[in-house]
Amino acid sequence: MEDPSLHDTFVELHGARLHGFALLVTLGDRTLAGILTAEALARGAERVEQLRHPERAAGWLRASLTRAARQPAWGHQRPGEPERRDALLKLGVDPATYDALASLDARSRAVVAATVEGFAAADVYEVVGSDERVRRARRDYLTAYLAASRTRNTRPAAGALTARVQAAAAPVLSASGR
Amino acid sequence: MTDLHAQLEAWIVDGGLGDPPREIAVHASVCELCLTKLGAFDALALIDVAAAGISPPLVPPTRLRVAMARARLATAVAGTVLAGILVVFGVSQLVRLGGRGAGPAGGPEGTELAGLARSSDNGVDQSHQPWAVDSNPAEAPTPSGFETPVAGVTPGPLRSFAPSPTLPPSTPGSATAGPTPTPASSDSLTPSPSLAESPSPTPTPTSPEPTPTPTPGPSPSI
Repeated sequence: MEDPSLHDTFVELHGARLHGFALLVTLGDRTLAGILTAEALARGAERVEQLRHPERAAGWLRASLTRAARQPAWGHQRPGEPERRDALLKLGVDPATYDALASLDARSRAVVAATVEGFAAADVYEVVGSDERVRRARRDYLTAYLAASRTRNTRPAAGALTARVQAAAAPVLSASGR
Repeated sequence: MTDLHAQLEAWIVDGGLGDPPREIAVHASVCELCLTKLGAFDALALIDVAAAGISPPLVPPTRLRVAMARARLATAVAGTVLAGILVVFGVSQLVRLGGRGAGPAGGPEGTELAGLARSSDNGVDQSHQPWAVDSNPAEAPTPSGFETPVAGVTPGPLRSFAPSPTLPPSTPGSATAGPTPTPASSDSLTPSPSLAESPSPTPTPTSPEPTPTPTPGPSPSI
């Protein structure tokens, strides 16, 4: 890339969120996440002219990082589970979610991570390359989360999705007096 | 009821776009299992990926480049080893052939060759044998009919497999006129220098007097 300021802008725009995405994909492996992030940013910076649109660049970077994360990391010292949990806890990952993510492969975790980031369906599709993979990964996460929740005997706090469903049901429930 | 569980799950898995059908929403609002399913994706909403901050300014050689460099190194090493094996094999073959042509001084193989040469009385034309060597024309057996011991033990170039004309058994004087490519007679079993097989096109006449040397070579007997 010829313009250093363009490279810096690119890294500044995508670096932090891409690093968080990488931490989720690598299940809290800080070293590997840092390497994958740096590599993806370097590859993206080489194509910065084609990746001027931020959303397109974000999808491309995550797809590139996901592909790289699925390659074997020769000679890489993997961290222990406490380190991983600690790294993801800083992002707000609760224990049951961690357990669910741990049962998935890197590509499925990438789908979950893209969901966390609020990517549109088309962008999530670009990350893993198949609608069916997206559905399967979400279903696998759901199944794993239910199992982890039962094991830990915990119940997740209601969030925006639950509120939407309850709001949709409210007219019927209020009419029936429940 | 089970169908409502599955419908809610399908709605979630498809991305939870829009509002769910009212029937499903009413069921999910009072179903513990469905509320847990909704909570699974609500838990994801609590994650803040930007909280990770920008990664340390890692500028490592990419794993791909490292892997490619290792592959190139392995290829170079393998190529070098293979080339070395081929060179050693080729040299050993040359040494082996050279040892066969060296005569008795060349070791057991030379002795064996000498024995073969001495057994040429059985009518085998050794000019067609691959281990036959050209000797110096000056030291080679002449068509004069005299037995001329080979003076040297240095192996010469390999003889051509092409049929070579031989000099007729004539007087030494006729040999000085140069080799005459005439068909070898049946009684001429002596490999004689020829145009095709001699490094020098004109064999020099040799002395009819035999030159004794301490190491008689595998010169064919008449």
